[in-house]
Amino acid sequence: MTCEGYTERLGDYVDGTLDAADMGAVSAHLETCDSCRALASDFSRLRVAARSLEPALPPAHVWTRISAAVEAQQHRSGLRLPERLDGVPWWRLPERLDGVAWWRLPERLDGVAWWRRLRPIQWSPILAGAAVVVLLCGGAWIAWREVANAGRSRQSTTAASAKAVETFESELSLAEEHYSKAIASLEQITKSDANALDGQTAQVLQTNLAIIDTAIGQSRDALKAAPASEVAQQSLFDALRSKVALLQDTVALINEMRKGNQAGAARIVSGMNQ
Amino acid sequence: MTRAEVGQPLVQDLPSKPSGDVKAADLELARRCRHGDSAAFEELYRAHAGRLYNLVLRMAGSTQDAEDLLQDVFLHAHRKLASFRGESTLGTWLYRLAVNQCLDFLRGRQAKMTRVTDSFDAEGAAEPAAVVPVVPTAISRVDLERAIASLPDRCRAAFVLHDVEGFEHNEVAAMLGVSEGTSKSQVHKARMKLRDILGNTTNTAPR
Repeated sequence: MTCEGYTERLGDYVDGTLDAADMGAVSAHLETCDSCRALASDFSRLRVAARSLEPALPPAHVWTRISAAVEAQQHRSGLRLPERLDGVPWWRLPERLDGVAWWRLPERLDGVAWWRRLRPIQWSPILAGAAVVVLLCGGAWIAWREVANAGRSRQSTTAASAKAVETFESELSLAEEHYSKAIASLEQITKSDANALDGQTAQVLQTNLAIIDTAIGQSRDALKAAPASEVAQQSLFDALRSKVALLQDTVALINEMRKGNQAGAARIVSGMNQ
Repeated sequence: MTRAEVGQPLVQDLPSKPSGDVKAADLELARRCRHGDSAAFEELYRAHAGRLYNLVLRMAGSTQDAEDLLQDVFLHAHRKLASFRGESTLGTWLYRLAVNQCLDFLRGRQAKMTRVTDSFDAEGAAEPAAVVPVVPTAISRVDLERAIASLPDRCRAAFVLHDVEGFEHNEVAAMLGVSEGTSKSQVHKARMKLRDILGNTTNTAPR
């Protein structure tokens, strides 16, 4: 066998996955071939070094972003399913969900098909068929009602659009309210404990907060001009999330400074700067 | 080269089948997360973010992409926790999500960078010309991380899963959706490329 043939086997050789006969053949070749021996040695060093790479830790701000995004996700979909809904008979679910529209049920049930969350009723094709009929009838009734309302007003399209915008605005308002509460409570903590930070750090944080506040203001203006704009909505949520993240990092920084943990504080500042 | 240098198969420390206690604990944690318990979701994050971050960091090759990917993984997990049935551990379930997220990301990026990857694939592996080892015995972590980050996407994915994470070639092949032979070939190319980079780094480093 040529060196090229052995080279192809060197990966398996250093991984220790060759059978005894092949292992012996490669070992014998390595005894006589400097270049293949050098290559096997390098492969082995790489393998050991790769496996012993030190673990990197995700920066603190990644969690703050994730938690804020999850919170926003929950509020936007009206999630936060109460524990007590487990095992509620399906026919009583709508009343327990405070009149939530049936088409929103999957979202309210955390993405689980709603019938899977119910008391142990065996889901059968017959029941599936019945549910489809119920849903179709419900949808038809709602559609009929919309058309009837539209007929009365003679402005069906405008009314539907206005309603969609109204729903969107109310959801947006809920999510924004949630962020505002989080921001207010975090601001309260950071203001009352601000003296734990040195002047320069506090100044930088204030500057950054001011920049984010400007972005929030601009996003709100954009949303006023185009209430259904997804870009504007995303921009506002991004800005609000950034503010929550920065404030959370500030609170964490204050805690570390109070504990006198310079290394922990430096880690947080480093995360803020990334 | 000593026998000790010839590797025992690298141990994969990610149990795929949960024991009874682990399964019950994982299912309970997943249930709390589904019900909007933010402390439970943070617990889930703290338990698994480190390992997943290492995976996405090395697969993506940059900290910015890794942070975005880690965020995507956990947001995706939060939405999909309802589908977690305890058939594997939560760690394995999250790991698969992360691998899939990384592969989607790499596919998207690859579409934009086909020329770069193909040019490397076309030129193939370098010939083993050196007669002495060129990779230093003590490889600097920074050098190695940088070299891994510079690998073409497909080679890097196979190398990270096989040499860094310790999966066997059949597992790597299944995750990447390629044949076992392709997995071996990509890892081989990655090792050759890394040897080239790290050998040059050593040779050109100021003494």
